[in-house]
Amino acid sequence: VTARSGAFVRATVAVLGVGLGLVWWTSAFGDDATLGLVELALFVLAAAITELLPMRQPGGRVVPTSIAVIGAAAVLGLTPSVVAGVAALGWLIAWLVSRPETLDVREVAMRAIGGWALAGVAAVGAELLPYRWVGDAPFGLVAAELQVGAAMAVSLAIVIGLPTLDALTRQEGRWRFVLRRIVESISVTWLVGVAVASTTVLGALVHPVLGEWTLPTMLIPLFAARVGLDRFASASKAYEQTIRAMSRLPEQLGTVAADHGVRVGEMARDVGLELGLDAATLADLERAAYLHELGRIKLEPDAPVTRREFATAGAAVIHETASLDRVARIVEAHGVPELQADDDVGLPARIVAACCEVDRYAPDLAVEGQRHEVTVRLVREIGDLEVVGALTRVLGWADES
Amino acid sequence: VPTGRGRVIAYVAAVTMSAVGLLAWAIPRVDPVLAAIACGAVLVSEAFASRFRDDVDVSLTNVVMLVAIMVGGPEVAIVAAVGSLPMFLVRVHHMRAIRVPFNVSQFAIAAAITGFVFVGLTNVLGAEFVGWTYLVAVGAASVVYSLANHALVAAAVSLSTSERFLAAFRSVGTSIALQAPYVGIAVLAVVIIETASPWALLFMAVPTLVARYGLLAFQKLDEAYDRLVRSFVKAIEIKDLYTRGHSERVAQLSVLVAEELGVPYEERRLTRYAALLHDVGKIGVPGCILNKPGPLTDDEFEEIKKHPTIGADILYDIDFLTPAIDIVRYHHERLDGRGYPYGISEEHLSEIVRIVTAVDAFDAMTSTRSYRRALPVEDAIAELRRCAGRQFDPRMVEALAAVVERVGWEPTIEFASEERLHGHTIPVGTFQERVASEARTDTAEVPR
Repeated sequence: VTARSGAFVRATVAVLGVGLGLVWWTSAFGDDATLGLVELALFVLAAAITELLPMRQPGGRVVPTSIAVIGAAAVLGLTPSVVAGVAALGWLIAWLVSRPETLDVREVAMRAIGGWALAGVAAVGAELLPYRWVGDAPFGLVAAELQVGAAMAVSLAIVIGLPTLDALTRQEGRWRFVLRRIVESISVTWLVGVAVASTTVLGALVHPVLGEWTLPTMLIPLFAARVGLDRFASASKAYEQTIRAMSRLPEQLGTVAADHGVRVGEMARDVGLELGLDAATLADLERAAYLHELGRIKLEPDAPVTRREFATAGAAVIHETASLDRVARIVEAHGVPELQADDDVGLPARIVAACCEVDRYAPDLAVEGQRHEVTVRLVREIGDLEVVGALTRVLGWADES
Repeated sequence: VPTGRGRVIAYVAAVTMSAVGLLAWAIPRVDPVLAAIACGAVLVSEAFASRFRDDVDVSLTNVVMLVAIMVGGPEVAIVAAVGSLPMFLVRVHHMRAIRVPFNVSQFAIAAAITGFVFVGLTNVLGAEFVGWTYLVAVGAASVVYSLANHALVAAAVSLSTSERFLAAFRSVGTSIALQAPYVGIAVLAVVIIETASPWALLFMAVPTLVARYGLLAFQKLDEAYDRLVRSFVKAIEIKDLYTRGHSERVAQLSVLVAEELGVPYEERRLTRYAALLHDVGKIGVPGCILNKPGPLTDDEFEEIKKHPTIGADILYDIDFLTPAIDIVRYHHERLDGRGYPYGISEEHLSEIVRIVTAVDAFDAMTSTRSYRRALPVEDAIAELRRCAGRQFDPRMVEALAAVVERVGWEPTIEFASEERLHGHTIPVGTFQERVASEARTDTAEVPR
């Protein structure tokens, strides 16, 4: 079902892209906006270079900066087939440079279709809003002519259309919370989207004056944005990986099974997704699940320890980071049921406790009877049917029940 | 002959008077509206300056100055420098008052020099907007602005401190490397202003603001990361009563030694985190061994030997630490190959590993441990020198000696309170006495 829905969305986009391209093919827009061969080659080169330098907002998906080049080509009025060709050729050159092991034909096709679609979107925008913005040229320079409708349509497609499409293709069958995921997808890519869309318009704006110099100059602010976001993303990645690494500390004491923290973290995230938790809560839930046993490092390893004790000790360690307050409260609440009345941390805490219980019994779960027994135990100990139900669905036990 | 302080005041007075003279020349020649816009742009760019890394700030003032020169000539750029005054006044509580007139004046002087160079070059080259000769002129002007700015500041630094002028001038290299994007942004801005409208600058401002957002978010997260690692290290050190604060001190001292040796910034940053986490593997060593008073048995020492490998395994998945993971893995190895746990020799030990190895041993010797009291700094350095060439890299030992002397490093004695020792007493005895009492000569030099 998952693969089918993803393929369906992609096919829809492909058809839509081709359709929009055909609309432009028959329209008058773009007839007088063709570029010379040298400039066209520069567009291909710029598409290739930008393919190698994608951008990512932490928590968001990688966005190819080549969209700025392809978008500028679309706003400048290149025909859909030319834009599609620029996008595909740019990708192929980038592939030759980076030399991955296999050539992903779908990626080339997606770039070509994406280029075709952007050119189509620009054409539709120009048809709907047929205005040209002509600036003053006080020093005898060529006035900038900008197709307002085309620029607006391409910008909207980049900022809203792409993340929406991304969210739709990544639903993996969970259609209940589709609107929330679309909003979240936009919220974690809009910064990159706005930077890319602005660069697209900027390129079209300065092209009448800068000509062949357009691409190298228009991309500089975008690359500056990439440097800034790249530093942010690398720090964010290091932060999350360190939390994950620290989940292994209690394992060294011999009281916790290897990779228990990582497994509980991944399981908790899936349950959170199943229950439609928002992105911020999902992130804190995953961190809390990784670190839920951390308190054991403060306690004597040989002495018997209750969940309440190591949860409280773990929360004390996490509190000291001063930036994971909610994570600390979830960790504490997962072992202290009285604290689960707090709406902010109650549900995530129950998810962590349930996932931890299931992972503890992992060796027995291959037997169906054991799975029923664990489910009953979860219902009795966690006391939250919604969480237990979501967990059994994530584990694929729901059908058996 | 004026004193150091007198020389600084005389220099600042000269710079300020020069700037006042330039302003007196420029103000009657500028369009008031254009000058006000340029002042506003400088104010905004200074207010939005952000930190690229600990030692490099980035602002768009260079770009504003270049645009002002291209659009209105040197006189507009000179007047635009006044726009920075409010920001320096706001920050006056963070700096000495004398810096306010100096900073504003050096902007004006650098703008004047840059402007005259640009005008001269465009005349000589017959440059037209936007041909390649014009771009050459803008590029040269940008480099001149950076050089002038750094020269004025470096002169002030060398007059007020013992640092030589060229040493104070060294960061100019990084700054010149940043000029290429500034030139591109400036040309783009001029094209937009001339052909479209100043409002269209917003299209250019958006990616720039995103860059700033990224840098600010990075800075904030970097601080959070620092707290995260330190709190975990603190939690791990709870187990070992005697080494509390050891990792923090090793990290601090390692970075200072790396600076002393001219290790690049990114490597220093990695060294700091890897040094902070170098003993993370001790979590896998029983507390009774770590806190044992007196010598260890062979079996107990075998347990201790595991901690570098355990630490490296724990940190294996942290990508950004990968280049420095050897610090954790090899911080008990020796140049002669007689260290533990792998017994590898010097060709496998990188510069940063050698730094941390020496610093780790130094801090272990100058801290109270379960088996002895802390050594004085001089004795610890003497011990490191004795082992240099076999156990430690002599270059790192000398750099460490220079650093501890410069910062006045003190031995760490009172870090584990007596009541937390659970009735144990710290045995009397020095490191040398322990070395002499142990037959294990191969490993005796390695503080655990």
